[in-house]
Amino acid sequence: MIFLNKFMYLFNEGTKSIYRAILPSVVSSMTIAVSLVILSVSYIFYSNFFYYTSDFKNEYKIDVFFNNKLNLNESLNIFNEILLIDGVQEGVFIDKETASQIFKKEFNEDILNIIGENPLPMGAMFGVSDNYKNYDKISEITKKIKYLKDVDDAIFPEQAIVKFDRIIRNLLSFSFIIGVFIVVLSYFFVSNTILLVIHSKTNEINTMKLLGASDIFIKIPYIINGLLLGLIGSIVSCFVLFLIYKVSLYVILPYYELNNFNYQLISFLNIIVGCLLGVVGSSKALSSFVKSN
Amino acid sequence: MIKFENVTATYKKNTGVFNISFEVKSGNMVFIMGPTGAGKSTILRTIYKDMLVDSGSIILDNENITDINSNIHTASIRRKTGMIFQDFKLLTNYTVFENIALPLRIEGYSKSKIIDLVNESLDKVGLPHRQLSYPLQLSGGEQQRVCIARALVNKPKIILADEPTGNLDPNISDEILDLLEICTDSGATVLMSTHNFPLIKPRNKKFIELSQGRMV
Repeated sequence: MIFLNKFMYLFNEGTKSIYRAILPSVVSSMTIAVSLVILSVSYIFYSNFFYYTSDFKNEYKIDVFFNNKLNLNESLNIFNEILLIDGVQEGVFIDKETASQIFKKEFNEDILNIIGENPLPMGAMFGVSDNYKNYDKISEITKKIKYLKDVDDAIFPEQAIVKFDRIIRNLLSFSFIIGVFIVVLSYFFVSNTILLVIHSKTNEINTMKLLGASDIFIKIPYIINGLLLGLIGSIVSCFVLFLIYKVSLYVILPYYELNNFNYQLISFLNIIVGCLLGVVGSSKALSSFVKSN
Repeated sequence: MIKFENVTATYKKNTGVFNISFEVKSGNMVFIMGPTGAGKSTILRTIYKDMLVDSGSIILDNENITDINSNIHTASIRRKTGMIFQDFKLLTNYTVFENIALPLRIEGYSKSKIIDLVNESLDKVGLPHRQLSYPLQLSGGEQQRVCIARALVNKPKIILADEPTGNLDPNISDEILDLLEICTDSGATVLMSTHNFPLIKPRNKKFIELSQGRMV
């Protein structure tokens, strides 16, 4: 009962301190809200970018040319051997006839008419599994294939993949840096705002200590305050995201369909991150205050 | 109730109190007298654990509190002690009621119990009509009464008053002393520091005189 009475009082104090310092509270909540909106929009943009680039990644294929002296069975054996390599997901076998058809399609000429026989080797085209769709891994597989006996050559669209991977990597690094920057910025905003509030209440805190309040009794209202600021900020961010989503339906949807936009999940994550930012920010402020006193 | 045995407590510049011994029996009111800087507040600070002692021992309500320095124990000693300050130390954004209720909130009393005890305390100091006012709306004398009401609200056995009349005019100071004297009727022990000898002289109470940190 004593615990409940104390908790109710402390919760009340935590709530009251929002309107006792209304301006810093609004600034903190809005900082959290803006940070969460930017983070969420970045995440949605990022995941959609990946969704739309996955089509391009399906073109990550390895072309293999077998030794021209091999007969069909020997070529099929090597084809099956390659399929067993880690990361190779699927393959299309290309016999001599299919090779000449591809040649005809590519160059609009029949090779039989040009040199009187089909000199094209048998070969295959291999797709790689999703985890291997990057430059390092695909070139590793290609090397393994090249070293196989009776394989003349194995190639993949090296330049395109290098460029594409570089774009993805830069985007990933940029998003990560921006994300960390935003989180750190709002963390400092919250912690400094609460620190300002705490400093303005130094006399009050000292009086409470003299009256026998324990450290935890003094700290809890500020932590509840931080939690509530985070909660308010995250609710505002959910509302703004909802508006952005509704607007985007008219602006973006005619051209692109938004994927990976699970509003419930993003709202839930926003509330968790917002509350966490508030609590961690206020704890940091409290520990800074304790150190300086 | 309060017993000092050869207590020495010093600050960095080798000031403080030296070799202090006295005893205040339960239900008594004792004054600590002396000029500014004599060490009156230091004695009170060692009791409410705002300062550690270098040597000697302090017994408070049969408990040796000399070596206590953990936050939890300090808070528990302070909760058992009613404290009155020269500068009142009232929270200006809390109403009179909330200020007086604070020690009860810290102890986790229920709402109804808090209302009863605060009203009882306000009646004792003659300010029942001021419970919704804020400290800055009150006169100095009224603020000190609120401070006394806060010190009495959880019926402590020991009341420490650090120059409670320091900022008040003589008539009001007398009223404050009357109030503290009434507290001893209900069994509380009062230890009050003051530099105003004419104020305490007519009271015929025991006093400890200090000069430069030593008992005279």
